[in-house]
This record gives sequence, C-alpha cells and structure tokens, in this order.
Amino acid sequence: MSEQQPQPNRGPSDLQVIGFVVILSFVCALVLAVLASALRVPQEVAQELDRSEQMMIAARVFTHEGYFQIQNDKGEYVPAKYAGDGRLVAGTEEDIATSNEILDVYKHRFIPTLVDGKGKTETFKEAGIDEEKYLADYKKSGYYRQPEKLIYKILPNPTNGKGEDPQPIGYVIPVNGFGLWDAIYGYLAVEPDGETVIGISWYEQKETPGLGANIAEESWQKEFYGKKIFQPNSEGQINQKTAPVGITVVKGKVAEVLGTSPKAEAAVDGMPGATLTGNGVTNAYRDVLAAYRPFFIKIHDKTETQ
Amino acid sequence: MSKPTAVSYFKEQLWHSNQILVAILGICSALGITNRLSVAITMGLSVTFVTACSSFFVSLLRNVTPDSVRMITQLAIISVFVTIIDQFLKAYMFPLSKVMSVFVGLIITNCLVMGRAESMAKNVTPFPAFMDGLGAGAGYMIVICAVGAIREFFGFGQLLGHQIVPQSWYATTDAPFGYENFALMVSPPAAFFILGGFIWIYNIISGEDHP
Amino acid sequence: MWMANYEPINLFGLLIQAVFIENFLLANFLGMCTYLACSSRLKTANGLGVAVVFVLTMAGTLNWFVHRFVTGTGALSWLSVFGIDASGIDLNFLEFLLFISVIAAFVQVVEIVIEKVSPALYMSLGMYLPLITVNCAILGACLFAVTRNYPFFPNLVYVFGSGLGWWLAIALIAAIREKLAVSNVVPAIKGMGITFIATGLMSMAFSGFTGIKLANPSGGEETEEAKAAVIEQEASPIAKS
Repeated sequence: MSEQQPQPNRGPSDLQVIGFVVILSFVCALVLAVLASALRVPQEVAQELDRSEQMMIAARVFTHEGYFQIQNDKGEYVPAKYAGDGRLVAGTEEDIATSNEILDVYKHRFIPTLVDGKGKTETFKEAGIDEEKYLADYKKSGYYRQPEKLIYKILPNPTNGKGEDPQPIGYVIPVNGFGLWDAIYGYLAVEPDGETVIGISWYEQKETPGLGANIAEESWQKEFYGKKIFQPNSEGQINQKTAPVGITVVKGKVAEVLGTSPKAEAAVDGMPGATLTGNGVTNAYRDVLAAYRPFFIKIHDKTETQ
Repeated sequence: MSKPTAVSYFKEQLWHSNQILVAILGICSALGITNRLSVAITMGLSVTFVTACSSFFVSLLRNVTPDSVRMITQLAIISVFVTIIDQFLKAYMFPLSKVMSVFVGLIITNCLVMGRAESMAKNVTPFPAFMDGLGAGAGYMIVICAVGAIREFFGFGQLLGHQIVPQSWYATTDAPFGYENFALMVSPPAAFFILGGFIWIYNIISGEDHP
Repeated sequence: MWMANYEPINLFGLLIQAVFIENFLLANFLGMCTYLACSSRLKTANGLGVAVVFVLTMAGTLNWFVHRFVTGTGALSWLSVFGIDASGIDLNFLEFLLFISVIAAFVQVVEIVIEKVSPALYMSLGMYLPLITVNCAILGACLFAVTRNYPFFPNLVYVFGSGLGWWLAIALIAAIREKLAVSNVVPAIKGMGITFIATGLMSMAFSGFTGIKLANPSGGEETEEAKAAVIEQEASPIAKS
C-alpha cells in the first residue's frame, strides 16, 4: 500500500484502488449497521412516545407542558400524575410525566380498532388483519381510505376495581391531509355522542415556521375544544345524516365571519398569514371525517337511546 | 508536540478564516435552519462533530488513499458520521429531528465539511486536522447561533422557546398599535439580509477587502 | 409505481412548482456555495446551470431506483423472486451513503465519457462536474423527492424542474452581479455582502409564488370513497324503518 513514493506516472495499481474502495465501503457499512441495530429500539420507542403523546394531547389526557390531565367532578381539566397501572390521580403542574408513564397510560387507555363502511366496530383479530402491517402500510395514504378504517377507543381512567368492559369515553381518529408544503398528520378526538370534539393535535407537519406551523401549537389547538364536527342548521340542530361534515378554518375570526350563527360551532379562527395551511386543515377534516360518518351516526344513536 | 500549532489551527478557523464570513462556505444550512435558536445550536453541534471527526479520519487515511478515489473516500467518511448523528437524533431527540428532517443529511454536502477535508485534512497530521475541523465547526456554530438568535427574537419574540418580549406588549383588537412580531424574520430572505450584514460588519472590523 | 394517481396536468403543475414556487435555490436555499462562488459571470453561470440540470435529472432518477429497490421500507421484497424473504430488512441507515455514492460515481462516469467523446464540451463544462458532486442541491433534491414518495414520472419531472429552477436562479444573480461589479457599492459590503442582500431580495420576490397549488395528484379513487359513505348511510334510514 505504500505506493506514494515518487511514482512518475502511475499511482497505485487499479487492483489496489478497487481493493481500497471495497474495504472502505465494507468498514463504513459495518459501522453503520452496528449503530443502526444498536439504536433501533430507542428509535422505535422515541417514535411511539411521540405518537402516544400527540394522541393523548388530542384526547386531553396529556398536555403540551408535559403533565397528565384528568377531569374533576365539575368536568374541568386539572393536572394529574401517574399512580401505577395506567391510573391517573390528581396532581400538580410540576408532575412532569416520564416516558414509561406515558407509554403505560397509552397502552391501558387507547385501544386501536377498526370500523367498516357501515359503522360497525371490530378488532383486528376479528377482521383478520395484521395490526402492525396495517398501521405501517396505510399511514401515508390514509387509514380513512381503507374499507376497514382505523379508530382508537379512549377508555376511562381505571379505578381500583378490575372492571368489566368499560365504555369508551371517546374516540380518536387519525387525520391525513395536505398543508401548504407537504402532508400533515394529526389526530381528532371526539366524544361518545359522535359530534363534539374533545381536542386535536398535529404530529407531523412541514409548514412554515411561525405561520402554518402554528397548527401544532396549543394556543390554536384549544380553539377546537367543544366544537362540533357536523354543521348545525340555522336552528342550531344537527342532522348527522345530511349535515356537511368537517370543521372549517375560516379566514379571519369566526366572530367576525359567522357572528352568532349556529354554524360557528363547526368553525374556528384562521391563522393570519397561514390561510392556505388552514384550508389544508379544513379539507383534511372534511375528507377524513366523511369516511367515518356511518360510525358517528351509530354511536350517536346509541347515546340517544341511553 | 505540535500542541501550539494545533490550537492555532483552532483559533484561525474561529475568526480569520471563519468559514461562513470569509470563505463563504456552509451557507445552505445557515439559511434554511436558523429560524429557531434551538435548531441552530443542534445544527452547529452536529456540523462541529462531523467536521472534526471526518477531518481526523481523512487525515489518518491520507497516505493510503489513492488519488483517483480521494473525493469519494472523503464523502464516504463524512456520510458515515452524518448518519451517526442522524440516527442519534432520531433515537434521543425525536421532536428536534422532525424539525431538522433532511437538513441533517445535507451536512454531507455542506461545503464547509468537504472544504476542510480537501484543503486541510489531507495535508496535515490527524490531531491538527481534528483541531482545524473543531475550529471550523465552532466558527460556523457561533455565526448561525447569532443569526438564529436574532431571527427567533425578532420573529417570535422568544429565545429558546421562552417568551422574552412580554405578552402584554402585543397588539390585540383592543390595542391595535401594540407590538407586532417582525414576521419577515421568520422567512428565509431575512437570513440573507442578516448574513450580508454580518459580512459587512466583519469586513469593517477586520479591515480587509474581500471581493 | 410509475404514475400512481398523477394526471399529465399534474406533471406540468409539478414542473412549474419545482421551477418557480419551490425554487431550490431561492426557496429552499440549497446549492448556495457553488452559486456564490461561480456566479460572477453569466457565461460561467450558464455552464454550471446546464451541468446541474443534467446531473440532477439523471442522479435523481437513479436514486429513485435505489430508494425503491434497496433502502426504502419493504424495498427488498423483490428478492422474493430468488426465494429470499427480505421484506422485513430495513436498510434505511445506508441511504445517505448510497445516495452520495451514486451521485459521485455518476459524475465521475459522465466526466470520463465527456472527455472521451467531446473534448470541446469537456473544456467548457468538464471543470464544473467535480464541483457539482458536492452541490447540496443534488443531494437535497434526491432526499426531498424521497420524503415525498413520488412515483417514477412525477419524480423525473420534479428533479428536472429543480435543476431548471436552480439554473434560472444562478443565471439571474450572475446577470445582477455583472452589473453590480461596475456600480458604486460601499467598499466593505462589496462582493459577497451585496450579493447576499441581492439574493435576499430575489428570494422575497419568489416567495410571492407561494401557495399556488398545482401539483397534487388529482387522479380519481378517493372522491368515490367519500361519496359512497354518504350514499350508503342515506339509504340505511329507509332500510332501518
């Protein structure tokens, strides 16, 4: 290999060059492969943690500041802390959750299931679909486009007794759309009445920082609390079978554009300078929620009869 | 040993041959990613790590690298270190890696890294090469952090995510003449203007003529 | 895989988007270094621009194949032809290394071919080719195209358009710099300083194109699905009662 002594016309022979390149490539690939396998688990955990946090933010079980939340008797949201086994008890804002606590609460309280085109729920096992494969394959194209659509049941905060099948206190729908620059992915959590929003989150977006990227900020997301996903008619009633579905991000402020019209219940303020991102959000909700309409009707009817 | 010389490599890179302001290298990431100070700091640290380590290894292999594959070798070494950084960010700083996305990969073609490998690392011994790379990265980091701080402060009223400009100063519908964030700072052209300004200041201070 | 649900009109929209709206240099800031170093004369800038268009189009396409068949998720499933089930193997960590190697190798091959085939072309163009290997725009366009998961033809249009946009930007700034060189500029800001400011102004001008959405696939299945949902549950009240 010490061919660098003054060689008037030729450097190392071709074979030596090829040998060098092959060895170098092999060493590089080896280093990277070792690193990648070593870091695979932390990476998957990090991704799962991020997704769990975002889903729990949408369901108002977790906050942007890093602590859990529960509802007190008056229905207000107060800080909470982890008490083992997926349970949350009242706490303070200082009780910042750790990664394990977050993953544990997620595991206990958020159950992925499928709904079909008629609104009937079934588990992955009953539908004969491999959960991991389904989650990976359709993330980009959108679960709402599949005949069996992904939805997450939100189970209530477990109390001490080992319960029977607890009734869900809400559902989380994965939302796909297209913002100004690129695809946006988020969650929308809806009450068991099938029409009131619990909360939203956007976990993947490449919008303009300071403008469109505000959709990931708490200050804008809290506009969605208590909004309706169906547009009320002029008397303020919702007919889930015929009303337009989706939440509209208006240009400007809802108070100025819609005033006291009942339609304001399905609209939120736009972000100045980010109209197009707002339009992307509107379209996303409209397209995705339309696919779940039969399901909303079903659970609404169930709540009515109770 | 060559300790004084090695340290002088470091100092040289910090000011006299500052990669951004003098050699005008490494601009792409300086513009694309200096919206927020936290991102700028992460980028600066990543580039410093990559430059220092790759310069070290390029220098280590300088006597056995055939001339015809010199550039590919440098690129391969640099990509290994960039992949290392990328994998670490994805594992331990996931939200930040989402923001930085492809810009981490672009460190590979960051002219700064290649420039150091090509002009310095293949000519000197490993330790000075390492210090040179470290200095280049540090000089780069100082400049982009300055740009990032200015952009975040004027564009968001924050630094490192903490609100600096008091919320009460902001204009609302009741007080329409209050403070408004300088929205231009958030968009890319502002980075051009700020860098142009820095070059201007640098030229005035160092009194040199850089055509 | 070749076209998915992109219509030809979407391809045209994608081209416009890549050249003007998401101009690689003025909106994404990639490829700045070579741009700043070589833009003092229009002739050099043109030469560089043509070289970038060529390399970017070819390398972008080659890297699409690399991503599709080697480093993407589930990319190795074609090995099932040989009876090996490799769909679970994830080689994503090799992506940077492979992409840059493909680019460097391609540029090297092109340089050799040009030198043999047309010495005249080599004289005018050949010296830029090594510079282009490390042009962030090349690697950047390949990586951007991969994150957006374009099918083959949209990918081709996208990388071609990105190259064109880069050429446009460098030609514009070279023309401006030629004029600036003979104007009265404050000494300390002469050269690089004023170039930065001029580029910033150009970038502001180009940001006026934002929001023109031409390139989204408009091919048809998803609208059917949404409609079907509404029709079905409209039918059901009758069925129920």
